[in-house]
Amino acid sequence: MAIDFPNSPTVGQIFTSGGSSWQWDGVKWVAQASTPPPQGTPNKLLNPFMEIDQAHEGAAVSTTAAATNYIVDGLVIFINAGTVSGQRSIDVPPGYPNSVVTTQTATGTVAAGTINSLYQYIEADDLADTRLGTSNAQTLALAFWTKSSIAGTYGGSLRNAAGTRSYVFPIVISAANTWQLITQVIPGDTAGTWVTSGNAAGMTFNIALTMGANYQTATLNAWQAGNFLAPTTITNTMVTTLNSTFQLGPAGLWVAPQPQPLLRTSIQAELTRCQRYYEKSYDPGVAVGSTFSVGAANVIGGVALANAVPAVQAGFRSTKRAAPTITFYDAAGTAGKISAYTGSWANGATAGTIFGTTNLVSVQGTGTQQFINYAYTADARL
Amino acid sequence: MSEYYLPPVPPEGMPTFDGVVREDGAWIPNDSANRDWADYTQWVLEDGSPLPYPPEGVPPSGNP
Repeated sequence: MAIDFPNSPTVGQIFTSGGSSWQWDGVKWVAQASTPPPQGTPNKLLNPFMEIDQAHEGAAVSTTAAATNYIVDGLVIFINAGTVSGQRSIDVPPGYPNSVVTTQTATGTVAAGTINSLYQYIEADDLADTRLGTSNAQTLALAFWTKSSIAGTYGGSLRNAAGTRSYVFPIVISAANTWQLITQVIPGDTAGTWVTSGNAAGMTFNIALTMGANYQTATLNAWQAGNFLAPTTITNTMVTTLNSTFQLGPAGLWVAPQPQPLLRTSIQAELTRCQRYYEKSYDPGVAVGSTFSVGAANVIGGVALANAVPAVQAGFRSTKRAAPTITFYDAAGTAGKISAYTGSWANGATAGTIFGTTNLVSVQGTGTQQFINYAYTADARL
Repeated sequence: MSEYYLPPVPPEGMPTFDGVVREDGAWIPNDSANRDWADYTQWVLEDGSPLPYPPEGVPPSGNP
């Protein structure tokens, strides 16, 4: 029996016939899983709907240097050519809350070592069920929405943390400024050295926007030794085109034989996952460094006992991946400072010392301080 | 390139912070899994040497 697909479908539209379903990705109909997703196939990606943005709350992050810059929780932009601004966006495929958008705000040139990419680390402990690097390595499946102002070929890849094993596949964006669903099935890597336990990075999922020859390969859709991030056919005009944009929407990486539905968990579950890596004492939606009133209910505070200095012990909202970097903020929003009461409240004071673990931080005041108030961030990101 | 400071002398009876304080006022613990500590150890390998903690505290170098 012929299948009569709808004419003029909209992006994301689902069509079902004879017990099978297809989704229109903007270019073609993509077959959906014909059976319910197997139990125990959680999405390995952190913040897969790009909605949690604790550090920036939607503000743009501009980067020029070769450094790890998080745009939203879990998602990094790394560039070493030109200037790129990245931020959370509400321009999304149908039915989803957020995406991220990068904009090339100053152009650069493409050299052999150029890297302009989006990526996410996956912690080794979250890879235990992949069995990567063994004869029982499991099949992985990827699905993600993309959109770019420049149609062409980009690079998708999975790579081990050491950069000694790579799987590169082309991302072909057929039409500019149109959301498109990309899917890829990746056989498990039975070779190489993979770290699949512990709190270090075990894998990166990378999307190459512009990539120099040092990281290009003609070996596609197969695991190989080496550090490769893009096909040799990558278009590579993103970095040379002023105000070019690239967007990444909802994304998933599963231990599964085929891509699974991009199911959204609860906002609290996603926030808690993100807080393993980064948290702030500010309320959700309140930017880091915002001013506050001393003594406010949501501010951390401590009082001095007799013949002592103020001391505060605050538990984190979620156990951290590693001992976190702590940055304090006083009521005026100044980083590195706390507010202290020595007969009157003043900002710009400093903490006496701190000590802590992956679960809590204890802060001591100094000298004549009778009360202390502060906000904080705790950063244990990969 | 960031500058780093040794931790301040703690209040009496309190332990000294096991880590360093960056010029933006961030307290970085001595944990090899902390990426900021990794940056610091790399800075030391490149002949960086942390300064004594200033009497008035580390002046912040700006908000994020």
